Amino acid sequence: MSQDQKKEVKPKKKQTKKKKKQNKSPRLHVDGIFMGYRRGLTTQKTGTSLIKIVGVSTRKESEWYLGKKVAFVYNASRHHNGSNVRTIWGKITSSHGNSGIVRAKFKRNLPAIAMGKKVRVMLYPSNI
Amino acid sequence: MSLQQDPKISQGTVLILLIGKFKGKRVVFLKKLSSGLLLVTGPYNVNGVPLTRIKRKYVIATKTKVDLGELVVPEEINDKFFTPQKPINNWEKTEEKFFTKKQDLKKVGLNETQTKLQNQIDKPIYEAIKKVQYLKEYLTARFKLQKGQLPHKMKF
Repeated sequence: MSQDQKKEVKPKKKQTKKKKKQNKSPRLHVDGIFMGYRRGLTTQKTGTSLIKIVGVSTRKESEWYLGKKVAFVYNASRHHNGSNVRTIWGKITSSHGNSGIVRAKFKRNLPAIAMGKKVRVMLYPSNI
Repeated sequence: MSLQQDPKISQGTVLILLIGKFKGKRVVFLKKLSSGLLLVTGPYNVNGVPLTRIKRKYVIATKTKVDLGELVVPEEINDKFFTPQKPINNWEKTEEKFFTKKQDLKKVGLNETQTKLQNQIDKPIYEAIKKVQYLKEYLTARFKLQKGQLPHKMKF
């Protein structure tokens, strides 16, 4: 490659700007973390999951979220209907303790792999 | 099917849609239909939301209100207006249909009456929106939660 050709190929760093995705889908959920299942010291009840919602630290704050839908979103290897993104839906059933943790029941129990992973707490059904 | 008055939602209230194609969009409430669903419009020329209906539980009612006066929504805009037009189900074995793609056949766009009603409703609403400073920009912008924003602490 000649000197001129080399110059053409390299774009100037200042001029190129990444086009920001302007119509990105807005975030209409609050992140939560799947802490584990409802449990005593030695036995766990996998039917009920415990969710820690970001920014919620008291029982009173967590009451706002009661009844809201929750989604555990994950990727699978197989594509189905054009997408490999899958969800398990559930809803927040009650508060758990005094520090803002919340109990949720999912349509199918969450897999244990999901522990420590993010869960999406939606803003609906809304009564605001 | 109760038609109880919701104290937060009245004609002209700006609602935030939480679900569906238009999630995050701020729309203007028009009236509560007999099925219990809420009839809203963008207006279409402001944020691309046509006349649609949604359930109360998938909506956040804000304090912002567009002053519509005593806007009368035409009687034609009811639940029947929104029932989808019948798609072509009968696959008659004709040569023409054999060669057309199924997707192309099923497309049924808005008919004349629908666009006419859309424009008829949107016009007075758009006039009312223009009177308030920044209201048009507010309705164009989508609602989204940003880092550090907690909905249980927000006042809508």
